[in-house]
Amino acid sequence: MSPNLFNQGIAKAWEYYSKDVGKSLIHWGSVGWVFSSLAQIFAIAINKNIDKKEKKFLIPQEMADGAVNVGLYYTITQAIKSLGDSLVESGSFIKKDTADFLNALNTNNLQLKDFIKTNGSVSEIFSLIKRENRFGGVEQSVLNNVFAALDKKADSFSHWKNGVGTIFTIAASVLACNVITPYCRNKIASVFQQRHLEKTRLSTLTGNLPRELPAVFNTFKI
Amino acid sequence: MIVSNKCLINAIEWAGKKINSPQQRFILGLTAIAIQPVIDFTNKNVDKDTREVSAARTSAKIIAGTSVGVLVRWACIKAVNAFSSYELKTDGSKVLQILKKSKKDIFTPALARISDDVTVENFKHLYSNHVKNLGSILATLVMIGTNFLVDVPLTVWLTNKFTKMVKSHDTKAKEVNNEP
Repeated sequence: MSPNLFNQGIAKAWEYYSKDVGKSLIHWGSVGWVFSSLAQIFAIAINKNIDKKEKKFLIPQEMADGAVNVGLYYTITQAIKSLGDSLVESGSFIKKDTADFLNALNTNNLQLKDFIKTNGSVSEIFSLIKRENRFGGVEQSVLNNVFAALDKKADSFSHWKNGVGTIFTIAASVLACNVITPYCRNKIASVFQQRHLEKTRLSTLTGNLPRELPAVFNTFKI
Repeated sequence: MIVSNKCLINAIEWAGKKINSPQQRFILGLTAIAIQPVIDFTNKNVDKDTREVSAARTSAKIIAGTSVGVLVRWACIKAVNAFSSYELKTDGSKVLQILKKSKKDIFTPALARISDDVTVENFKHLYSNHVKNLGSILATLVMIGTNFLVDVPLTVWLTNKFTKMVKSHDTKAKEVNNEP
């Protein structure tokens, strides 16, 4: 890899992930699952204790397992983290100091959530003030206080949003990896096993020698 | 909901600052070992022997995967931290550019575009996130190797151990109940 491409990659990592730990956990967690699944498939493929017929059953099962792991991890964690982000950005779940700061700008005395909705989101309100150095019909004296506190309040909001995003991502990954995925995986594995048992039964009925336990169990020598 | 409880606020913000991939992996492993073997052991879609082997294999995979996963991630974050020292170009309150402190600091994002909301005060927190995130990315690549070289053999060894334990427990239970 050329030094410039490497440095550009490092720069992109800063730009995408430094403000949002949850996003990094989701993306690179999914990539980790892909490699882990490929390792399991490779382990079956090179295992000399498993005969070719068994591999024809186990490898597709492991591929289905991997697809379920990655697909469910990504979709569930992304959905739940997005829910957390939208709760924060819409003002449904924010700190008191951010709420007080926004209420100082709320000259029409709307409900806080309605005020935020009118202006897009909390982050968009901060961006608008930084960009234009003003906000709606807010008096200059109030604006001066707003500008003085702006960076501190924006940082405070950023820490809060990052914290909420991280907690939602962790909770979602526990739900995805430890509850939903094993349940789905067992359902898929039993479908594969039933098909395999049916094939074995049919080949026994047509006169083949009876099979003992599948060769994969030889791996687990007692 | 407007949150004013300082403990809750500190706890949530602490999570954002301190929790990254090693902690996530540990939490996943801890919850997994409490839940997944039970799900496998109570899976009525397969026979008893398969359930026992499945639960043993799941436990082995969790212990091997979590141990290796946490260790590799922790080590990679340490490595990135050692090679990402920086100096800052600022206008007093805002960060304008990140500079490498020396040639060995290959993980310092010297080419990064710094958005105009990055303050000097907040920079340390963002940079800490960056080091941990980059360490996690490096760990994902390192684990391409450790999955094959460490995880799989360790899983097989642990599975054999656990399956032996389950089978000898079954045998002892049958002896106690005078079953053939």
